[in-house]
Amino acid sequence: MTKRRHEVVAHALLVLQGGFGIVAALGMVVVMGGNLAYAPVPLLGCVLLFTLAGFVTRRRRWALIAAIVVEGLALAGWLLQAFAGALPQIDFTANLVGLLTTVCLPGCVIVLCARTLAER
Amino acid sequence: MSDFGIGIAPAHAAALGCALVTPLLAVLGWRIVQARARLGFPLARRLRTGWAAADAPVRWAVWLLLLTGAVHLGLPLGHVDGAPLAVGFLTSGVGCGWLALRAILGRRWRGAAVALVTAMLVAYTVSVINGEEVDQVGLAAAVVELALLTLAIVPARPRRRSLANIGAVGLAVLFGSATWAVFVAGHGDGHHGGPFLARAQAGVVLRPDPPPATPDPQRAAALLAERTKAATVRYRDPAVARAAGFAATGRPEGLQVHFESKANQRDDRIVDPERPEMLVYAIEGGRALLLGVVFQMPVAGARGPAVGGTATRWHAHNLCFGLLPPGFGAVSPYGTCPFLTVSITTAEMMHVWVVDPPEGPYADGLNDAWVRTILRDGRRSA
Repeated sequence: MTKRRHEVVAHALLVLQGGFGIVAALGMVVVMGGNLAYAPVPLLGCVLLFTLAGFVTRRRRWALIAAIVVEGLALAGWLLQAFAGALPQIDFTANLVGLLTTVCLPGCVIVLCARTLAER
Repeated sequence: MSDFGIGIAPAHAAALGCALVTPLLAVLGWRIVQARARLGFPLARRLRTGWAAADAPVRWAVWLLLLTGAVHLGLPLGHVDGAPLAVGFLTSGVGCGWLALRAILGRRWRGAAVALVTAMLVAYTVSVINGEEVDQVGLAAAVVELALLTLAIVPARPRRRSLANIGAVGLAVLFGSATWAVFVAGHGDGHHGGPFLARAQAGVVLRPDPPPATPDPQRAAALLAERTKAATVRYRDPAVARAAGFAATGRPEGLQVHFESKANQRDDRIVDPERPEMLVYAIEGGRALLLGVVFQMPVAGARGPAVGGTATRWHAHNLCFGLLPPGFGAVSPYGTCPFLTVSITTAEMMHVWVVDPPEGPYADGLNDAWVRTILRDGRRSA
């Protein structure tokens, strides 16, 4: 099978996702009154994405599987949020950009990593 | 879930429509190309051969260029802001199409794509700073453009991949932070009651004003403020509030310490000045001052009554909730939450301030410096 370099696209999307994560982490720190204790865990998530991006582009099997798992968990989290929105105390706001970054983007990474695994 | 449409500015609906029909038009167009290639047309044959030889990054870039181009070609249909802007949109749209064509034909496209996308992002940021409301179509287009930019710069120079990654991440952070800052400034700028609908939905969710519940909404708003002021006199002292079942939701000191009453939240009484769901205090340096109350709807997603028309506007917060450590963040303009947090949207709420702030009793928030001054001066809250 001809190599289509799906891993390069997966790499780009993972890097972008990490960038979005940094913005979200900034928001958490600002809302919590500038308390830096809220930065490490979100930034750790970004570092995880950047690390996976680096190894995915080298077509490492473990990284491709890990990326699929991480993005699968992200999609499961989105579904959980949507179901939780049915509770009377909380709602869930679905919007266009949210669907793009929290559903389409992880979905695309999963497909791209799966294709790269199939090509190996 | 019902807030999806609110985030889309009417001026951008046509552009979104163009983006949605792009895949269909692209498939139809591709069938025409293939038919012409079979008839021996040189350009069609080169396009067919080029696409067959293209790898995934190029194919993705072509799709992203087509989507971006379609959005920009559709923007003049909704934006009637003058000929120069329309020409700018059309030029960028055509530019994207031209670059998609070059990418399929195997010609250089990355440098021009980086320049074009950067120019489009800068232009959008400038227009947002100059007053255009950030909305979901603008942000979604920006996400597509950032993905295109990342694809264009990351694989081009494998030896400088780290530098390219930093560049892509830096631009995403810069653009996100800038639009968020403008959004927050716009929200705090007294847009309540106007056409501002917080369409970025980055921490705040606003819904369009329902019809006024009374023939004289201004009088109703003033009456509610007066009744709230009178009813909360007894809560001037936080100790009295605690004895009545209110408890601080976070740190017990600060310029806006919220005390909530679980009993009042569960009593199904809406906008009752005698039983507010929350009290807001300024507590600092041994002094305490009751600033106002928060009325909250008992069920999330339910619309608050239009007690005083546009003056008494309700809002909800879409937040990111995490446990490591326990706390809240705001959903970012990219619609994302930090790692290991979940997105939730609160029930609608409305502030009523009892300390006569310059912005009026229904202001979005109070100026910290002003609160410090009245706390120091020992102003009575009612």
